[in-house]
Amino acid sequence: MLFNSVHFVLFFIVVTAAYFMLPHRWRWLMLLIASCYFYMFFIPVYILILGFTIVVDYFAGILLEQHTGRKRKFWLIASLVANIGVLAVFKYYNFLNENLSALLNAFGYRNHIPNLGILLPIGLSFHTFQAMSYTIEVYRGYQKAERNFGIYSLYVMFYPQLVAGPIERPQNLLHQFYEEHRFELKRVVEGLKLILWGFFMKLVVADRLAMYVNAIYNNPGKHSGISLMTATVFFAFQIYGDFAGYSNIAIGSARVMGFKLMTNFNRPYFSKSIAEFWKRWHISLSTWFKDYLYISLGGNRVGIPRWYLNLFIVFTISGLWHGANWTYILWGALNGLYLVSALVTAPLTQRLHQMLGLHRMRRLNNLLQILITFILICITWVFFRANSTADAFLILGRMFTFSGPLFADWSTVMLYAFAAIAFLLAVEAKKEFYRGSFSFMDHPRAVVRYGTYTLLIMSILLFGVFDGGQFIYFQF
Amino acid sequence: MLKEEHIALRQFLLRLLLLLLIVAAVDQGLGAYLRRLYFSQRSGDYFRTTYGMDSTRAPLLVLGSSRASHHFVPAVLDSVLQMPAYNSGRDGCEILNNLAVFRAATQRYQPRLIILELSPKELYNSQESYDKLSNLLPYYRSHPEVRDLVKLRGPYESWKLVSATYPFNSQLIRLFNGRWNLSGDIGIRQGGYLPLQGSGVSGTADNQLPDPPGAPDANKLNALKEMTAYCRQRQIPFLVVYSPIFSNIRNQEGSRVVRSICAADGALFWDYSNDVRFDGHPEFFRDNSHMNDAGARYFSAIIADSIRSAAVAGSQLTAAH
Repeated sequence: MLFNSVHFVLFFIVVTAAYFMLPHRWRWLMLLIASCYFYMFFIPVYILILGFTIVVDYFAGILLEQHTGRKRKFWLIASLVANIGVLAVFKYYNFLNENLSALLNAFGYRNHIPNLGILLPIGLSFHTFQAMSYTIEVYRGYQKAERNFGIYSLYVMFYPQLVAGPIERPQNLLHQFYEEHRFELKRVVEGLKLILWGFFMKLVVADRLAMYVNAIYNNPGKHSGISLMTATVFFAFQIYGDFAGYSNIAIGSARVMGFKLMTNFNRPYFSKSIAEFWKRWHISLSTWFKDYLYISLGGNRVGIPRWYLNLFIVFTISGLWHGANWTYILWGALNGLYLVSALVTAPLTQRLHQMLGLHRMRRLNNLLQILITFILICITWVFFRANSTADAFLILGRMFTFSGPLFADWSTVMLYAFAAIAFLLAVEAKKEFYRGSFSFMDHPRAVVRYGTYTLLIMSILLFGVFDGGQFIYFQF
Repeated sequence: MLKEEHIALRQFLLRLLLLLLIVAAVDQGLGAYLRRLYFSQRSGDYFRTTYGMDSTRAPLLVLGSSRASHHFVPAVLDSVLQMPAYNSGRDGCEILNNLAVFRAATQRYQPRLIILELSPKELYNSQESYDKLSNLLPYYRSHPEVRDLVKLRGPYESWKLVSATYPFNSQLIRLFNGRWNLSGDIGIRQGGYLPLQGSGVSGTADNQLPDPPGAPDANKLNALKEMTAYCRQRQIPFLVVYSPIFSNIRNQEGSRVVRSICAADGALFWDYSNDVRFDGHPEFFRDNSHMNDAGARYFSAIIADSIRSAAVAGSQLTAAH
């Protein structure tokens, strides 16, 4: 079920009402049934895959707790193999097979292994990673194994974050299913405000920008450098509006019922370095990779070359996590390369700052750092959005030629797009730089608050794109 | 629920009700203003569609998408056929939108000839065709004949239309533009025709346009059948045209279906998509799908001559010559 659909609005109202009407002891069951319905709205049979990983990880958790030493390790590995195995079959099998074919063809051989004619289950990487975080935490002894099969299933399937995160940790979420959440006005309003802002980000910002981005990126050879550049900047805001919008709706939906999910975005485009960007962008995934892969590889407690290699490996795998395509792998690798380069050139950069006297002009320095980080991130987005690696390199090649006219339909796309970006940036800049100042949504005067809600709702009605597609991150 | 929860719930519902009332008031007020703005357009797409549905009494009515609006020159048709024409073609508006104009126009008067321009792939299923039915949303309240078409957008469309603002979604800039003609649109002075200038293609058409996968869309076929059947009943000559295109058409199944529907109701189907007078002539094309002004004038003269020769428009039309 898509968040930006009438189905979801009805579903949300019914589920939330039922949640508060039911006695506490039945709430988890209702949420589990609702979450199954939510997931089965896409392709019903794929719930069996989810069921498989849930059963494996549930028993693995209990067995992990019961054993020590090598047996304990065995059950962890068994759980990880099952989870990664599901990912490998459903997400990476065809990609690996096609690459094998290409490799064999290069040497004059043919690959006779057929591709699988299956669709990728929605949000597979998200719930698989959430399930894996459970078994790893139990293995590390930071989380007790969950004995209630229904509650564990709900941990993996909780509908607000089932298909696109935030990827939760068991310590944060599991205990919340046991707690009785009362109907609290402040919390419900807080959740609804997040949902409203999420819809604005998705419908008014992301889907509007998508119209231009799709037109350009689906025919990159036919467009000028300036159009490709504009589309790339638009995509930066599109993907942010799309994914942060989704996260806001997810966090808000859970918040209304009293659940607190982790923050997933923290105004990433105001980051002053790539390292900071990754602390503000898709936080639940970045921390997952940090906690479970980077640290397992040794993190920064190793020699410098190994430390750099660790960073590079983690980001390249993070690229692969996003999709079975070389474009994503290159996207991840480029981010890894940025981070390693920043570390290598740090002394040089500092000296340059001092030479130019930038350390004395704090605001200018900050602005420059934000701009440079944004430009570097935009370059990575080319790989993320391009339909193929060939397209990505074509776009990067043409982008800096500055030749040809700007492809623009001002009356239906461009003016709305620029206005949407400006509004989003203004709201985010206010939160980032003037945190304690005037707040529209939390203003003590009701007239300001209600005026703001009405403005946002009317903006969605007037400028939202209602024929937009699904959320980008659903495909991962 | 505890007593405090009941109090909180009551407070919440009251606040929600207050917000809904404010939103409803603003929505209805703004919607009424936008409606007035929409129906007082003086130029642009919205005006041309409204004119086609509510005002034109042109004996020759042209329906279709951008290919119609850029390919049929009323002045040329009129000079050959001695019959004023109105071109209601509109960018992105395919047969389901055309049916709305057809219904509204034929309710008011009986044209002497109706031409429907079809694109070779148009009858096949595409989500975009249904999305583009949003162009009919402003007419939902005032034109009952379009309601079933609007509802094809989705099961909740009539719910969404409780909002008075929603029908004007994404239209604000174009509404102001159309009301005060800020872009200098001259379409209505040319009977709805929108000329394209220059040539953006070269060489020969090398792109293939095969039949899209799957069968033609049932709703679109029904739309075509409704038009042909109505015209047969009212004895209005009805001509379906594939106008020239700068692509190699391999659209066998689509053409066969159109031909058989037309034949069943005595309508004509003329296919110029691979016409030798346009094949290999990039000077007539602005892009792969659209002719430029020179091509449109040449094509309009050809089709007008053919209509006159074939006297497809029946006794009234032949009587004019």
